[in-house]
Amino acid sequence: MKIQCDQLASLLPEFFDGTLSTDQTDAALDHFATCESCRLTVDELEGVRTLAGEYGRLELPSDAKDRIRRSIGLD
Amino acid sequence: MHQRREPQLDPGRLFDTFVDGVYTLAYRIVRDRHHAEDVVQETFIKVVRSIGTYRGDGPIAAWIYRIAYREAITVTRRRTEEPVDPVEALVRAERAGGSVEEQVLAGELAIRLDEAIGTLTEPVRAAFVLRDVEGLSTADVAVALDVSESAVKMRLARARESLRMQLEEYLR
Repeated sequence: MKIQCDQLASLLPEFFDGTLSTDQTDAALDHFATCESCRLTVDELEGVRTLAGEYGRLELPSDAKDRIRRSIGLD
Repeated sequence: MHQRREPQLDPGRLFDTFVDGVYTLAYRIVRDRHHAEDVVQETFIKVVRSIGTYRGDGPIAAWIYRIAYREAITVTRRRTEEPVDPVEALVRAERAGGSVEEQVLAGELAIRLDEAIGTLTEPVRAAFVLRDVEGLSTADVAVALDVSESAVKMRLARARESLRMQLEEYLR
């Protein structure tokens, strides 16, 4: 199974989820081996996911947590 | 007589487990700290009130984030002033510690990420936050946002590509 750049793009959500079939995964990896542009794109998309995981999460300040806990009767 | 609940459905435990995730989703949608806190409060009022109706036919995380997303959208529609509170991202980065240089870079990254996420439409933003920040499965994001899995995948592809273009200089 051989795929082109536009076909690869449509498979990327499943690629990142790890839910591609074995054939599709092999085809994607074969494509990366020969297409530097797609390889770079996927590396950058992986970088976006890493950044999101490292810097995207917020923490509610503890005084606000305490206030909300009290207001809804959890203390 | 008090109803006996599974320990993982204890409201206090649910609050501790999901409060930061709900705050993250809320803040990313309403983009204002005080409004986000209101969303957290309203969300957990509803969780406490309706936990008895949760039938366990889907993941509890998706059930809670579904309530939170609806609250956040309600607040956004009701609000009239322009929201922007980039300080929250910076505060978070500084709290993480490290050298001054690391904190400066972390702060810059956090703010750029915040700005980039802010350019996405709300449905796309919500899918991205739940999947790539909070780590829900694609199936659970679909339940939380009440859309199909293929819609979630389309939103994720759009979000990741937009952020890739906007944050290119930090990705190489």
